[in-house]
Amino acid sequence: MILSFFKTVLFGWITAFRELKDRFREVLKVWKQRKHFGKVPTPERCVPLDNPAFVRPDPLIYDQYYLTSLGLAVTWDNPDIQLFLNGSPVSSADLLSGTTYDVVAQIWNNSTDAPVVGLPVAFSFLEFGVGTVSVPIGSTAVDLGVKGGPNCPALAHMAWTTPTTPGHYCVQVLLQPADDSNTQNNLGQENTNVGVAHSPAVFTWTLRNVTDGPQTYRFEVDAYVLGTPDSCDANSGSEASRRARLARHRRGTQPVPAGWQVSVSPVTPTLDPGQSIAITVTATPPAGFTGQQPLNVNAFHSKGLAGGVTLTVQHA
Amino acid sequence: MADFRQYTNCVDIKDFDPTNPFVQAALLGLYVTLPPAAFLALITAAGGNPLCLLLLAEIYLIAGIAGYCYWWLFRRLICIPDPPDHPADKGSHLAIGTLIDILPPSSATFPDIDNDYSFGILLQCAPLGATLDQAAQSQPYGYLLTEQPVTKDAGLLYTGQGGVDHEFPGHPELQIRSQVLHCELEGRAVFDMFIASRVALFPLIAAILACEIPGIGWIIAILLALLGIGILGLGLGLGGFDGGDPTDVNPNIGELHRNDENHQGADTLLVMGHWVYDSGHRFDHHEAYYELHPVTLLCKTTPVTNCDPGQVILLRTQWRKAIGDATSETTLANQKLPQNQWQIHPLVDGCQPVIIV
Repeated sequence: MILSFFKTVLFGWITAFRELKDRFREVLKVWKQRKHFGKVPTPERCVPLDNPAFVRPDPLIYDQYYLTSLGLAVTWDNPDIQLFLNGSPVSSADLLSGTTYDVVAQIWNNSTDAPVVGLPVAFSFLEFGVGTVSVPIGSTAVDLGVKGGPNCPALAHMAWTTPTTPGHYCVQVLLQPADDSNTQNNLGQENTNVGVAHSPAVFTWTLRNVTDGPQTYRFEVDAYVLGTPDSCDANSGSEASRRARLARHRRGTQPVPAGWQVSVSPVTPTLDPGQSIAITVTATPPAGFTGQQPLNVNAFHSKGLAGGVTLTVQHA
Repeated sequence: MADFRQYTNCVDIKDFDPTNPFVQAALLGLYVTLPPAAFLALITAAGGNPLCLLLLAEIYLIAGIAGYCYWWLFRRLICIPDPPDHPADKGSHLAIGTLIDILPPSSATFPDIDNDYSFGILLQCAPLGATLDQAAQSQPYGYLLTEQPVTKDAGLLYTGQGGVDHEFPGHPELQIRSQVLHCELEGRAVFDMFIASRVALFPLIAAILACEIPGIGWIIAILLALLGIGILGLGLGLGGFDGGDPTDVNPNIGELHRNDENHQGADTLLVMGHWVYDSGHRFDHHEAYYELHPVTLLCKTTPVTNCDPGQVILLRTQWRKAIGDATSETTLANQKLPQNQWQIHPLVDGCQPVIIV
């Protein structure tokens, strides 16, 4: 090492100087050959951008799949999808065949600085059940304002004439923005049915495997209802307060009430891709039950939530 | 309005100096260097250390860099007055178009401290491959590419800017060149350099004084001179940290997409920005054109399919209203209310306002 140091001091610097000189000449050559100063268009097709002027909207709807992925309980009686007949709200569980309804979707924006003009909104309907085939109703476009501003929420309307075949149907609303900071909260589904409990109430619906591999399903039943949000107070804006509100919606916080017996048959069906099966849910209320009891039946497979239905048991 | 970055200011044409920026920088460097040079000359004549005169070279270099940065930031861009039928909205003009080319900060072919993020858009309803005339005649944004009296009367070069939506290496005949509206999101590297170069002058002036101290003065002067260079390097380094890190947890980090080999798939962008003429491109790109610089708002939007003049004007009106609503005082105040602090869904983690009847 000492020898190397002395070599450098005595004559090594001459070699280093030559290398430096060569490097300088290389740089000078590039400089002389440049077509212009500055930047040139990149050949890349996709280029990341992080700049405060670049704003991204987050249009959203009550999306059961997204909420479930967050560990939250969900209802399939979607608060953001409402059907109207002649201007009056009607339940999606009680639709008439061959009748034209006005389907209204309520759309929110979680962005405070990015509005959307002409947000495409696609409506479709499915046979009642889980994983059934989606049939397009139509598409429309709405202008969505930012959070806290005009046009938020925005309402998208679509006329839908129900099939002439009597039966239960569910409605899907899909938001299709050009850009979205969260693409997971764009699909809302209204999937309800009402059954009168002649002790017990029996519901039947279709489960279909829409994945590309065989799946074994399991079911979770709860009595979750969305409820009415708390009234705001001086502390409601804090993060702690928001988390406290969120905690009440965690999955498992609203189980089937004591005294109820709910069974799903078959319990763990295995389906090939595209295969469908009838699922029967039998709900036996406790003696003396009157009123309404919603029950959410959620179907899961290895990839997460497959879908679900909200069944309402009624007894006069 | 989004918190856009702006470090530049455009100048009125009456205040614009068309001289080569390097000449302007050299002159500014000279003006800054002359007073200390005169001081040193007097001291040296009175028997001071003549080696101290060497410090003037560094002062001149750094003052020249400051001068260039000053030109870059405050004398390069010329403000384009609003045409009577196209008034700006809070100083910004709005355009919608298809993304054609992107010039990110990392695309410089030679070391370059300019870290603006640039891109070009083909104005809405102008055909791919549009000439300057075609693009300028497109409605309703063609005026942004139409040569304006303010630069024409001043005899400034105006070429428009062409952009290629997809490169075919070795097959230039397959490339389609269109006239684009150039847009720039500002980075702050030049501004950092401007600050650093001004700060760096201080230890150098101190070095001049220290240099004349008998004995250890020259050592102090060398240290201060090195400090000046260090500060300049710090400015250069700080500017390098300005680019975003793709791994940042920032919902506004996104991607821009250009056309594929079938000339399809590019993003449609809504851009708002200050309408200027960048006189610097006469020297670096040997072209000159108008641009939106800085971009004050940028977002992706759905492709425009209906080019009926009434529809495109309606779309612009809708966007202006939407952006106006989003940036109104009322909206900004509403966004601070408790009922708007939800993050997932207003019915899940929100609260409802108390309505006092």
